[in-house]
Amino acid sequence: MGDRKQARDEEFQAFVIGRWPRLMRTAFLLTGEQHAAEDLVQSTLEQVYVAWRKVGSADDQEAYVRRVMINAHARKHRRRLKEFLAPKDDSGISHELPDTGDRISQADDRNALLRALAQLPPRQRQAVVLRYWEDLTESQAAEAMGCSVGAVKSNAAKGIAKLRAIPELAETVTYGGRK
Amino acid sequence: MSADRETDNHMTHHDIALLLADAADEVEIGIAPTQAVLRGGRRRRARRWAVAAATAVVVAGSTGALALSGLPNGQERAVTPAAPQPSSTGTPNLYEPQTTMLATGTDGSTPWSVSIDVWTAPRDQLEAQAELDAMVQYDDMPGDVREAADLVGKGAYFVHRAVGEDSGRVLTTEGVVTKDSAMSGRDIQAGTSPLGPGHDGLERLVIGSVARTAQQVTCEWKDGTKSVVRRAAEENVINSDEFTIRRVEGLPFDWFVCLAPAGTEYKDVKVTG
Repeated sequence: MGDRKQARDEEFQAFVIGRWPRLMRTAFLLTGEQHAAEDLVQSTLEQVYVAWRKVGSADDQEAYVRRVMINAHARKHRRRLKEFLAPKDDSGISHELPDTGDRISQADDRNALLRALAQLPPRQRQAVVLRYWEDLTESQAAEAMGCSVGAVKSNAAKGIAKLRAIPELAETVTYGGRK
Repeated sequence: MSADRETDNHMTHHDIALLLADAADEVEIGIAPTQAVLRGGRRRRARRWAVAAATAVVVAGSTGALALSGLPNGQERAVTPAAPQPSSTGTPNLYEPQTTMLATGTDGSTPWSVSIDVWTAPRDQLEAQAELDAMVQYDDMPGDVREAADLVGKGAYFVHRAVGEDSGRVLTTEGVVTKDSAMSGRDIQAGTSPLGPGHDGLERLVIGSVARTAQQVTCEWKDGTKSVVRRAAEENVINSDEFTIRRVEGLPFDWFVCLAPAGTEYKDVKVTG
């Protein structure tokens, strides 16, 4: 019995080592911050460990881990009621972004993107990261986010539209799909 | 869609994928903290069982209804609520939340409900730690609380919605309160969300809190219609399928829920009486 438990722990450790880099990158895009990313991945993997007996033998471990991470991210970044009722006007991108005058005009695309991602509501950020970084299909992203395919489409589209509206990114990102 | 536009879209998504990949490289990967993860995982597992055992001790005599609660790993499962601890001891019940149904209804043929868990304010760090351990069992973890000391003297609430016959609860919003969190006059805090996954994505559900003195809340929908929620004449005779302003034990403000008719969504909400 002890041997089996030890074998499971070793299997889990190998899983952690193998997945850590990728999970860190995804978590970094979700949180925009080094320590928050580490916290998110560690907390995700701790939860995976609790269910490892089941997860370890599952066909799609990746999908399970993604789901746990997105849940953990959503929980951690769940908006309080005050923020929750922030104006819902998605056309108001300008008020959600730093004032143009405050931006460093020479900021590179990387920092601009991280700042822009940080401004997105969590569900939009998740949809963009899962679709365009994790390269998931809409249905895989929906499964990870625990929502409908329609909600993924909508959140990803809104998120992408906001990213396109960032002046620093405008030179890199084309405007073809914009309404 | 024209070929040009398809090309443009492709380019756009491709560019964004490249930018994301580039940004993701900013993170320092470091060495995977396998031992810390194992320790944390074991602690979570142990905590889960310890809380389950404590709950089992006080469950005898409970006549409460079945409540749904989330496990730390995100799975949903049914939990029978424990009986409240005797108030004569003066000890706050730190091991379970007080759950109040804010609203229930049927949307088309789909049943839905919104409920709130309220956790009492712990008086010291020891109580706060016990409460945090219990919260793990219910998947009720306050987002802003990093350690037990942060919770001392603060109550915590978690609003969940459940949509469908066998669906679990989905945490919709949460917060902590102190004695100074009371609302007054026409103060209102509210949020909107789709009713549930698989729905049309319209922000139809409005959940909010108002002052104890508020008598009426009006939710306005984008199609021009309105829903009015009034305070129940008597708090003790509320049918849960009526939309009313409800008193929630343990919080210094009251709650309401509105649901937009199918096909429209939230436009505005205010206290109107």
